Amino acid sequence: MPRLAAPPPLVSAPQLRLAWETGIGDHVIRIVWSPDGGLLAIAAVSGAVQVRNGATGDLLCVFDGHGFGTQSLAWNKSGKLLASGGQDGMARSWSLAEGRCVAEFEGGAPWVEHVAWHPLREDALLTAAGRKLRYRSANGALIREYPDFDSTIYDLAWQPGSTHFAVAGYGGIVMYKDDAKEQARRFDWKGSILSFAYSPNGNFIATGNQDASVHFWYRKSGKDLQMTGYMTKVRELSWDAGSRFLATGGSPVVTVWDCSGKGPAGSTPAQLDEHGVPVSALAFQHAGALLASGCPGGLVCVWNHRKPDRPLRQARLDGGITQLAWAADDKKFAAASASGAVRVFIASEQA
Amino acid sequence: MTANKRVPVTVLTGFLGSGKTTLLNRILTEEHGKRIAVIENEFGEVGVDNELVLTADEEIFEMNNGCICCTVRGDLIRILGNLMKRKDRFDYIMIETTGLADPAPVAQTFFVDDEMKEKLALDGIVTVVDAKHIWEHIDDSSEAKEQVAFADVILLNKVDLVSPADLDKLETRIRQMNPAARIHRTQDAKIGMDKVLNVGGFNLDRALEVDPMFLEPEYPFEWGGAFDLPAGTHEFIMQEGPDPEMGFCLFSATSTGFDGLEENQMDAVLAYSSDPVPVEAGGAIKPGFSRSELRLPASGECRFKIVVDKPGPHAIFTQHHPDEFQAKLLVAGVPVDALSAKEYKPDHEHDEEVTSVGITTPGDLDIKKFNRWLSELLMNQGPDIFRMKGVLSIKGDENRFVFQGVHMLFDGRPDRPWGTESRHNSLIFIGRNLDRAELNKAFQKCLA
Repeated sequence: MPRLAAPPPLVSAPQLRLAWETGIGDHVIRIVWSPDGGLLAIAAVSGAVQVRNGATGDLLCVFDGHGFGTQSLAWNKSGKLLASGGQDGMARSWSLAEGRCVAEFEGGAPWVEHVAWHPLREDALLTAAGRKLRYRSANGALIREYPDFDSTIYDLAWQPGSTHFAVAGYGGIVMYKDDAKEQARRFDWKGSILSFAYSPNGNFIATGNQDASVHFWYRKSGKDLQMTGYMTKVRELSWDAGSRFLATGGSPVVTVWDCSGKGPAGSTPAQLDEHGVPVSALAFQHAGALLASGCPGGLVCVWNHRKPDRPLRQARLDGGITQLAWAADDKKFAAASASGAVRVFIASEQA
Repeated sequence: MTANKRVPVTVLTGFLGSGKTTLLNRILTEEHGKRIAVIENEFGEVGVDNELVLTADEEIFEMNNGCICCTVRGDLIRILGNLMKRKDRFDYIMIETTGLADPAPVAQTFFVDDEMKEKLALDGIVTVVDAKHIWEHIDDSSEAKEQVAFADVILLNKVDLVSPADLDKLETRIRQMNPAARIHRTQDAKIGMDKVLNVGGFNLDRALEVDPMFLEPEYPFEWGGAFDLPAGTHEFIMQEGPDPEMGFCLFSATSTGFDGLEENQMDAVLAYSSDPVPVEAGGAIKPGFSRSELRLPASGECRFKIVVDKPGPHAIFTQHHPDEFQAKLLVAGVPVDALSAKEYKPDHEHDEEVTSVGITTPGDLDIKKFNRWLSELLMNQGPDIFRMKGVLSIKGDENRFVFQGVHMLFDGRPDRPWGTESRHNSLIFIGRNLDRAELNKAFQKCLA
């Protein structure tokens, strides 16, 4: 008679510690911490934007956002102004002190999909809508309109702590400096880029792509390489504080590439396998080494990617995870879901 | 999310001015109880609630690997992805393309992108044709041809502006390009909603609903007859006819019944794909799987000898109907009629660039051989094969196998058991520069 094998032990990581939680009753499309971590802004796909106390979760303010839906959110350097872009073709700037919209401006296309404040200046931001890229002062005055991008702009970001920024889409990446209309640099690539991420030190740029790949450039030399074999399109990218590790989604398994030395070419990445379905959000801490991951199953995991066997902590939200964001002090992180759940967790070095 | 919760999507194609927008407005009016989201092209002019109308800018993503089946519409992925995040669920999504849009990337978007695949189901491609002005495009516009070839439903619109004869001509022409589509004649795009919505064009369960019409294949011959021939030399007598020559094929058949003819017609297709062997008047023909080309004199009657060594059932397949030449088979000097005969839909040879090839044949497929053939075919000719669908009989499997595909994308699965139905294979390819004889020949080789 065959012996019955004992069932494998049910490995379940300890639960994450909850600081506070709320529900907004609608798909959460964006969450953003203010630069000091004191405030959490939450945008619903239908448009409204809440601002909550980051420590307690108390509701401080609700902005209308955008009539046909909000797409993007960003705090300025001081955390006094919150910018939003939406499906009404507008970008708006909201003052928390005044509790109202203080400036609004057209993005140039039906959807304003990206807004990004200058990392070093208080009062200037970029908007991307369709192929249109505009640079404005906080009061809405147009500083510069850039030539139309080759395709719809899929992503837009400032190089951390610098006066340079880049836009990406089908066909490649174009970089600019904040004082010139002319391209500073361009990386052509015949493929469709869905997202991109500068490493914190600005040495690398990684893109997640529609064709289930991650593309990787050394910014200075322009040397590039491509990692293929992902299960599905890749949108989720996050760099660690040391600009060494790049976490990528596009699969149920989180892949963490080591870009030190000659890597990631020819290196074996760490594989974090817990979600079972393709992950939908990834976020490394700002300064620490912890990585948070989330999936459409509602599972949130916090990992030390050097110990990839199992997550340190986990929690489950109602609805698929749409957003993960660490507060500036790395002690708290927020997770939000497609059903409107928002939870803020406390994580220590041991998670 | 379960498959049946996926939101159905209908794609409307057609040249500018064909009546696409009229149809769209009609759908929105008649289905006013439903929540329908509309993705319009930049020239669209639908006058409904702004929230439900989004504008797309036809952004085609080609992948780095250059594979045509990975070509998708980036704008649709972006717009529909956002739409599906909304709490207010839609009952239906209509996508109106520009007159010059290529339907392939639109269709492929719903099969290639995992997010789209999970949440949306492509229901059908509806092409509106301006019955009067299509003639200006149909010969030289690849877009017009592709829109016809890809369609599940074709509306011949503006019928009030054309004569019935011209309409018949147009319908015949369009049928040749796409026999699988359901064709409706309309004025002001007036049509029942059940004819354009929920058509299940990409639904495997309904892949063969238009059967058997569309599967009526075209043949390189117009007539076939079965005869019981004794050994000896017989005669085939012909009068003057419409052509100075005629293809002719004679071989030993399995029976003289109608079933025998059907069993043998594919052999005849193969025989007709071989190089013709000219036979002058008075010459002799022996049974075999080859194509004789009977050369007729400039005028008057002519005779060809039919030399039969082994008596038994024989089949004759002629390029034209024998009546056109008042042709007769004489056995021992006496004219005989075929014991069973069949007329075939002629192979239209007006060099249609976009056309269809139907294959219908009894017998079971060797799954390994079939897979090898199909993957090779799609790899080499995928870009030219717009759509395909069919039902297959696979050796050792009691169930029908149904499939459909767009370019290199293939979707198939076992269906219900054959039961009492006679096992057979029926499939259709719609595409550009398809080689009918070659496809038939290659398919026959996959039989077990």
